[in-house]
Amino acid sequence: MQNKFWIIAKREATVRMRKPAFWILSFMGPVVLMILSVIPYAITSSLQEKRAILINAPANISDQFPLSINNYEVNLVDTSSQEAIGLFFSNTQQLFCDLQVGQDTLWTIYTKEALHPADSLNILRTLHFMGPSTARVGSHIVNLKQENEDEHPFSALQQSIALLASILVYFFLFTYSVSLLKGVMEEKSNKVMELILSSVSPPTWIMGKIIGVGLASFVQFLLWLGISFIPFYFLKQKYGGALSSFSADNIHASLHHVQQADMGQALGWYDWLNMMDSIHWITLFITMLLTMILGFILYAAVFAIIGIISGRESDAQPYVLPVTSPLIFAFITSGIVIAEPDGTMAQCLSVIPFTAPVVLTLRAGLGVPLSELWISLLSLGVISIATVLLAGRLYKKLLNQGGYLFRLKRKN
Amino acid sequence: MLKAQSLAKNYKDKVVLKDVSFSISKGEVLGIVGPNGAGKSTLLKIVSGIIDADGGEVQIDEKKLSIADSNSWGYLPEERGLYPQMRVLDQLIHFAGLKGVSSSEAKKKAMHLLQQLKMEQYSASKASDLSKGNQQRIQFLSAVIHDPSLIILDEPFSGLDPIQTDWLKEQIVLFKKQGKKIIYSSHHMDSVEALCDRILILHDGSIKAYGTAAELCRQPIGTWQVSTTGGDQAWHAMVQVLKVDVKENGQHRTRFSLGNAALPALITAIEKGGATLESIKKYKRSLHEVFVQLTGNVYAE
Repeated sequence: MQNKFWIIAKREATVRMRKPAFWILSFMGPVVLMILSVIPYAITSSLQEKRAILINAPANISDQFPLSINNYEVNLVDTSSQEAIGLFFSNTQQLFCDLQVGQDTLWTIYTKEALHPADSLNILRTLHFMGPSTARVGSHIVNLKQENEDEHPFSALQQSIALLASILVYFFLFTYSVSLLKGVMEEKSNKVMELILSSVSPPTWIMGKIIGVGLASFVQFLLWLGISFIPFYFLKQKYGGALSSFSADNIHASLHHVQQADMGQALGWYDWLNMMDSIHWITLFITMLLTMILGFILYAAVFAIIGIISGRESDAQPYVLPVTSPLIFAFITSGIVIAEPDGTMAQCLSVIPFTAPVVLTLRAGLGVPLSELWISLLSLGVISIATVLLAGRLYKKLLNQGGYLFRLKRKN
Repeated sequence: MLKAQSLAKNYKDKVVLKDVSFSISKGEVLGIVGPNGAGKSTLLKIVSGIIDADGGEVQIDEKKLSIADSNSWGYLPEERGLYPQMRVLDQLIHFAGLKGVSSSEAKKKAMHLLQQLKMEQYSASKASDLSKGNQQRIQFLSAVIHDPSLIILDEPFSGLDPIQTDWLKEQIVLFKKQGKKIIYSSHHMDSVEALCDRILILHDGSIKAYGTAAELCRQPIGTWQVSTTGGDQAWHAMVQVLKVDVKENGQHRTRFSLGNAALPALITAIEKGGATLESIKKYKRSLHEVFVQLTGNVYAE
């Protein structure tokens, strides 16, 4: 004999999954997701200001230099190293390349900022083909970046992923909670409700509906994630090997050993693949799944309550915005959370169940370990279950009071 | 046996049910009649576990009614409903599942019932594609597919055409023969009188009458219904001679409460008045009359 709870859940899930719209959204969603993740990066890249590189080299070879290397404008000087360093610190150039010619030709590259591997590879490649052709060419990079420099700790891509993950959680919470609300309203309007409630208790009915709708959303969510990761998986498979050449330890060797074509293509995907490696995916996935499940139970129960107390769908509409406003508030404050994922604001919003799904996902995407999030997840779980029980009791009360939770007294 | 004891229900300050008690044994049919708003549907919702009574309790086989035992009853709500986009067979399997029947067994039963109703061709149809009458029959099947021992039907005849009404009456008789307990509310007095072993008349949440149809329709001994011809003058003369209260007067027909010994005087009076006796018979009230008599002032305001 099947559990009645599962019978309700099964119907809710299959009704939604049989609709063509479910599968269209399941396969189109990831495409939209990928486009959305590309756009911020593309905008950031296009808006990147032109940088400058100061090169100190003898005049006889300076005319061999191109006008720019990657995104760097080349400024040439021919002076002593000491004077050139003075120029470098007094000017706005981000890089300074100093050539010392002896038995070997040695380039010393001073940098004020973290050097992108694509830039370092191309700069090194350019420098290695400069200088006396008979000399052995060598180079080393001196990082002048201050540890306490006021620099944003997260890359634009990491922020994009974290924000995108939280938008994804919000999207699923909202879409499927509204779907559940419509399901409740439908059963009320087509009068199936009484038939069901003569067989199961209101809490069983509500929990069955929530789990059923949740299952459908979960399937779609996993499809989205799976499909979104297929391109990354293949890129990683294809260029993952070449990418290891860009590490600080291997970059010099790579200049000679790695095929230029492979490296060029790999460099094109460097940011994406590097970003994939820099994200704490396991923490992010676990947090997303838990906030999806627990957050959905919470919001679905609240939407079920709205459905229960509303006579018609139009009566339910005014409640939707106030109920989802905590999630919107979480997005409004996302800038603060991104700036300080462990800050007071982030921690406060994490323990508030209604903002937790968005904020916890955001924080997980920014590398906050799961060990710091579990208390918030636990409180979200407890409140979610309590809300389901409340919804069930509320509905029973509503039925027992003839459809009114409270009745306003009329003044004659 | 189903036993309801002193059931009470209030919706805020409105009394919906007050001290309602009844019982139904195996193979019995209980009819609940009453004007709109009398509390019939509320009573049936309490019996089917949808809502709780504020006072009193319902027992099935001496055990307090609980939704956990819902597999033992089937309920047809007054406001019928099916999932419009769901296939007929799937609906029956779904509702049977909610009553503890496995999918495979439910499928067999559903197909069997559809074949009995000659509706098997609709098994793959969506409910919204069925006629209203056929939808009602599917709803009825949803309520009884799990073979419950107690069947609760709220206004089962409403919206049915005469053929479907006859079909439903046959089903009720069949279930009664199978030893099931049946409780239903209706405004169809004829069917209640014909089908029900006991009848409960509700008015303003209280029991106005409860008993068999014979008990409810019983009259004081010596109530006679007399029909005469001979015109108004003869009629008035007769009434004057008799010196009795006229309970009903129209078409020269009236009822008299007289002892058997007074019958010869009645006949003499009719003749003296110049009227001709057309018929004289012992009067038996219909359930309709009893209902109107007990609840007739409901719309007086």
